[in-house]
Amino acid sequence: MKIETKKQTEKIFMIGGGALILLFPLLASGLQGTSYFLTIGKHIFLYATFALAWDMLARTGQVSFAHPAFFGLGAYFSAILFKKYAVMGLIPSMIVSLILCMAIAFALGIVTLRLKGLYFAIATLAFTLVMQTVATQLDGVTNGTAGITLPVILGQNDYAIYYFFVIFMGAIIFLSEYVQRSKYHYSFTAIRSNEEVAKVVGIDIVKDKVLIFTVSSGIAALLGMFYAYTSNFIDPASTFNLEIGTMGLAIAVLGGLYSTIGPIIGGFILVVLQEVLSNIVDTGYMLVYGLVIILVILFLPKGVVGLWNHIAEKKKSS
Amino acid sequence: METFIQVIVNGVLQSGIYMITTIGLAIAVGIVTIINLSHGEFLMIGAFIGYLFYQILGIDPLISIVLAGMIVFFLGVVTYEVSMKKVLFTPEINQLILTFGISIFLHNLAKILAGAKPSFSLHPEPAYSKAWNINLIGDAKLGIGISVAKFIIFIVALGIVIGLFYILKNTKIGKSMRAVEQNRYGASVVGVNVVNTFRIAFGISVALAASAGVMLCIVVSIDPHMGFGYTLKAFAIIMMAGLGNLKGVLWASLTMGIIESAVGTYVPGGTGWSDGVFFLIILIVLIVKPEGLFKK
Repeated sequence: MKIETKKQTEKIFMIGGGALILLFPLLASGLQGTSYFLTIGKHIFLYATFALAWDMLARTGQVSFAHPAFFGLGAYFSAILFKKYAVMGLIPSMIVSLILCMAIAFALGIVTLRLKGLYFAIATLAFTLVMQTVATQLDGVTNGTAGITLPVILGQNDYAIYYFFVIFMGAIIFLSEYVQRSKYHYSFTAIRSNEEVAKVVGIDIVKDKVLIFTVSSGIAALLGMFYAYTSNFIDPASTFNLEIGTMGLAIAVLGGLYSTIGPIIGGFILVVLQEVLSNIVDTGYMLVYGLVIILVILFLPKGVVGLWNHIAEKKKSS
Repeated sequence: METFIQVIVNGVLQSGIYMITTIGLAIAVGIVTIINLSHGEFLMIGAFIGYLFYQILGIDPLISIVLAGMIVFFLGVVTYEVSMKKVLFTPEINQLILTFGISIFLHNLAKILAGAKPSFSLHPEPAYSKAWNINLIGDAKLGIGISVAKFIIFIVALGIVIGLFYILKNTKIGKSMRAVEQNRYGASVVGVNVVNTFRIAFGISVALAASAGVMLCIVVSIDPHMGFGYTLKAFAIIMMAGLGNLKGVLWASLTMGIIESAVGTYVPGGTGWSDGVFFLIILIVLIVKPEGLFKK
């Protein structure tokens, strides 16, 4: 029965949410400040997808702080190849950037993922800060803090950018669901619960972790590129930004860890909340992210999705 | 040659602050088994306590080292009771996420309270904020400078370290802490109050960070963002020393202090790189020798 309720919940969300997402631009076009609403939409999909990518790795019990680094590396590799030195076109530069980022993630994963979770978390944190330093200091290549100005893709059309991010999020949702239904779901859950047991039943722990880390980081890199080419400008502070990592983490935790729908719901709630808060206070709205993380881990460890399932179950059994 | 000696002196003096910050974190990780990503925020709180006590009440920061330690000890016990306690036996990922959340919360709270002012430094400077100039070979141009404040801080830090090792070795609570570190079930069987030991150990852990924070407010300008960098540096030093190796922490702090000082001096545009190099060292140590560089 538990599985049935869960499936029903997901169906309601998928159909209702999907319809709302697709129709929103039509509704918004009647409102004043359409482009503002569409930009919020873009942010929701960007961060929700980022959180989903992060969660896919978290399913193995690993907390990565390297995602902001790959977000930044993705943006910078492509921007340097395409704009700064203009050695190739936009699409080839993105492909090269993705390959480079995934190769780096693979190498980083190989050396750090055989260690305990703590080491991995600290090593990835260190990696992000090293990359941030390099991007700031190597100003001959990266322009340093002055940043790089980039053209905006899709003819700067807010509607097109909105749907572009929707499509990408949809693709990652499919990927995540595919992983959830494959043998990897069992492997990841086993690794997360108890590595020793997982090893005994024949799971190649390092291989599986490195695989998902590489894929997950690759998604972060792609998001970095999409961010870069829809925001007109990048600099080290806005791309190699630990706050992006914090948001991704808070979104996944709030929505519900280890699920596809969790980070998506979390993304909607937190990005909208942030939008509202940043209109009220100037600084420190990140405070709310901290508070959300603390409260959810302490009182609601399965997030909003867990709460929803819990309520739905209670209703059915009564 | 003078530059070289100056680099070593600066590195050694800096390492005192790393020692007590990191031993604090090592107690949290080793004894309480909490991977505390918010450790540096308690250092930041200590720094602001030292700053405010000096500016508002006129209390010398050297005295605030003790006061801030006591205040933050209680803050730590409260934090432990309302949050950390609940994730002690949950998967590591929950601890990392929770303490990261606490870090974000405290640092942004400080940011809101601090308002628009980006950084704070003591004004007027305490009397000992001057430098001794020591001439090595009788030539005034070839001397090295030692900041009196940094020197005092280093001595105080060493005193705290010695006191801490004494407590761990000889007192009842220290023995309980070591027993719990080795085997918490065994310790509880022989009558150690494990719950209370955890509480006190966590209080001591963050109180050490706060003391280091007060020391920092004397010699550098402080800001709400300063904490997280120290969390990372402390983890870096722990990894270099090897988990659970308190004496190794002292050597690793010394090494890191000197490396940082050397990079800041010898590498062009060095100060911008020195933090990056710090973290690069963590990566290299983790990759090459994850059990730590120093013998236990």
